[in-house]
This record gives sequence, structure tokens and C-alpha cells, in this order.
Amino acid sequence: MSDTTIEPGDKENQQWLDAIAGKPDASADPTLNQQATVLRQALIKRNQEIITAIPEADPAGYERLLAELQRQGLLDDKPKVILIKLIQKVHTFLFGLLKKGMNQPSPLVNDMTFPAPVSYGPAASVWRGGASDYATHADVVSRRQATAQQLDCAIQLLSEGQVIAAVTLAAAATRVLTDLLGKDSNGTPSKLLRGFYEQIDLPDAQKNEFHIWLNEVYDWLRHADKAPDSPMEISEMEAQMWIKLGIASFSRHFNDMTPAMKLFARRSASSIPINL
Amino acid sequence: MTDEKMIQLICSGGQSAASGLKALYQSYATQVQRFCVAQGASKADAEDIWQQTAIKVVKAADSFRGDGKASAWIWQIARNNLLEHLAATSKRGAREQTVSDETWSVIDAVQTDADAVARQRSLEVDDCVSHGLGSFSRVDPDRAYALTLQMDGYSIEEVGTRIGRGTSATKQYLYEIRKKIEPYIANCFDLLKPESAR
Repeated sequence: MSDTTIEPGDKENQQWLDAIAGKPDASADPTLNQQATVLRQALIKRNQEIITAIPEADPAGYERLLAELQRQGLLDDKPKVILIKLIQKVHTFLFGLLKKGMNQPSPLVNDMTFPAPVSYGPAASVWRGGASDYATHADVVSRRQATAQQLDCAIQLLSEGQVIAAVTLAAAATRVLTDLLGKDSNGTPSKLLRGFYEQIDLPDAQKNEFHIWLNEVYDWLRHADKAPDSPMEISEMEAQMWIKLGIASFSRHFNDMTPAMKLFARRSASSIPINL
Repeated sequence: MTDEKMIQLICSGGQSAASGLKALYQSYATQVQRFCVAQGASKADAEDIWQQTAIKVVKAADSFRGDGKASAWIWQIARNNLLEHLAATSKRGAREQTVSDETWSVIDAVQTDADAVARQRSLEVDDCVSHGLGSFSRVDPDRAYALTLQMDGYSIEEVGTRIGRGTSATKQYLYEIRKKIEPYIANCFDLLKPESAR
């Protein structure tokens, strides 16, 4: 029961309430306790009738609520407005980063070519698909070369309108790069993304919202364990965002950008960031 | 998840809002609907009132400044919705009627009426008290609800949150219930006495 001070005149009332709560005071008047206990039983009975009338809330009720909220436009419009504001902030921030990267000397840009194919010998060649015209071409590449090619290809694919493949490549590269940049103790979000969030001064809830939005499409492209038949809306915006994040990550980690990355950064600077 | 976090998520929109809404539903849908039924609303009306409450919470989430408890804010919205609903269904007059001293004397007179006493004595004590509690609930549903929360082991603070009162005021409110309900059940306790003592 409550720990507030009990006035002398309220002592009986408190004892009565204690008995109503099922914790009778042994020092109270037995009649008071007896009457309160009978009333308690009546309250329990009445409460049980209410519980029977209104059982625990079911999923159908939740669906009805969602439907009503959607009908009133309370589920669609609000998130969209917030998301647009959020993306604008991130675009502005990323553009700042890319602009900064473009001004940096990039002595390694001309080295962003792949090494000549390595010969693995006949046995290895057979193991990799046979020493025929169909033999798999094999390169030994660094993380830097791999992510650079992924991002360059993503940029090229996006320019050709191949949005899905562009997202897949750019997001894969970005995930590798953010791993290289290091993760926080929980593993996610990466230090890079966390750094972005901190610099663009987003409230926690919006950071979470942005993180969910950013990963939703990529996860859908990688996995089908949840809702395998569900469709997904994939726009150019996702591809742009992932490529920008990828370039920013690449630039930060390797202190360099490929020509394609620099070109994309310049074009992004003049493009309208939001096109929902 | 705290109620404050829940409101924050609802404000955020998108997936976060969906999480917040689900938490709101899980924490409040049942309780608000039971509250409404305890206050005299039908089951169907209780769901309408709950839905209106949830919609208002979503609409006003941005305006929740976090300088008070979110639960108190949500219950305030629920109580207001119930009042609006009862007013719309012409029950408000009966519900808001304060029980004046004159009314209490009338009730006392009714309860001490020989026929009423005879009728109540014909019932078992439990049924008699249940009957009296039912009458009390119709006349003063707020106090009956507060007493139910007390029976259910809610703290003074939690009862206060539900009925929209501070801790001290809630305590005093609960103390007064003993006197208020007495006329409805006093005669029942005569049945507990030996026949010769009645």
C-alpha cells in the first residue's frame, strides 16, 4: 500500500482499503476486515465480468486501428514528410563530405586498375571450372579494389537505370567499407553511420528511422526469409543514397576516390536530392 | 518500452511509428476498453472510444512535451473521450450528476426502506453486496472504478494516473469511498449478524 503518512482519522479508512486490496491489517477491527473482504469478493466478481466482456486486445483490433489511421491519412503522410526532411539533411551532409573529398589530392586514383589475372595452374583452373573457354576468370584483389569496382559499377548501372543492381552493389560495398572503418561495441550502426548521424544532429528516433529505411531495401534484396512474397518499392533515391554512403566511406577509409566517384559526386552536387 | 519512448516513436513516423503504435495498442487497448465498460459504456462503444483515443494520441503526439507522465496524458485523453461519448449518447447527465447531501439522504431512505431491507435480506450476503456494488457503480462509476483498481493491487500513483488526480487527492478520494458506498451495502452486513441481533 501507499507509504504516505496516514492521519489518525484515516486509519480505519486505510485499514479498510488494505482489506479491499486483499491485505487486511491484523490489528484492524475484525468486522471492518470481514465487511471489506466481502466487498472485495464482489469487486472481483464484477471485475471478472468486465474482463470477460473485454478480453485481451487481439490482432484484429490492432488491424482495425491501423486501417482507421490510414483512412484518416495519419500513417502515410506524416512519415513521408519526416523522411523527406531527414533525407534532405543526409544528402546535404553527404554532399559536404564528397565536396571535401574532391578537393583532396588523390595520388592513388591512377592506381585503381586491377592487377593482371593470376595463373593458378591447370589443376586450380580445372577446379575453378575447367581449363576451357568457360573457365572462371580469377583475380586476387584487395578490399579496396573490390569496393572500388562495386561502387564504380553501381554508378554506371544507376546511370543506365539499373537501380536494383546499383543498390545491391553499392550497399554491399558500403557494408564492407563500414566494417573496415570499424563497428561500435554493438556492431551496428557502424562508426561511420553513427558519425553521420551525430554530425547531422538527428534525434534518436529519426536516426533509427533513417537506419531502418536505408537497410530495408538492401535486406530485401539479400534475404527472403521474412515475407518472401512481399513486393518492395525501390527507387533511384535508395541507389543514390547507398552510392553516396559508399563513396563517403571509401573516401574516408582510403583517402581517395576513383574518377567515377568524383564524377558522381559532382553530378550529385547539382542534382535535386529528393524525388519521392 | 516506456510510454514516453512510445510517444517519441509515434512522432517519428514510418517504421518507428508502427512500433510505437503497436506498443500503444498492447499497453492501453484492453485497459481503456475495460475502463469504459466499467464506466457504463457498451462493449462496442468501448472499442470506438479506445480507437478515438488512439487516433487523438497519434494526432497530438507532437504536442506531448514530455514534462508530465505520458500515461497520465493518455488516460486524460481516454477520460475526455469517454465523457464526450457519454454526452453524445445522453448518458452524461446521469453520469455527471453529483451526489448531493440531499440525494444521499434519499438513498439512505431507500436503503433503509423496510421493503428494500426485506428484499436484501432474502439474498445471500455476497449477492446482496454485489447488488449494492452494482447500484453504486451506476451512480458513481468513477469511485467504483477506483475501488476496483484498489482491489486489483494498483498503487495510489497508478490509480491517480487512471482517474486524473494527484497522489494525495487520490488517497483522500479512496478514503471517501468507504462512506459513499456504505448506504448501498450496509444492510447486507446485517445478514452476517446472528438472527437475534438483527
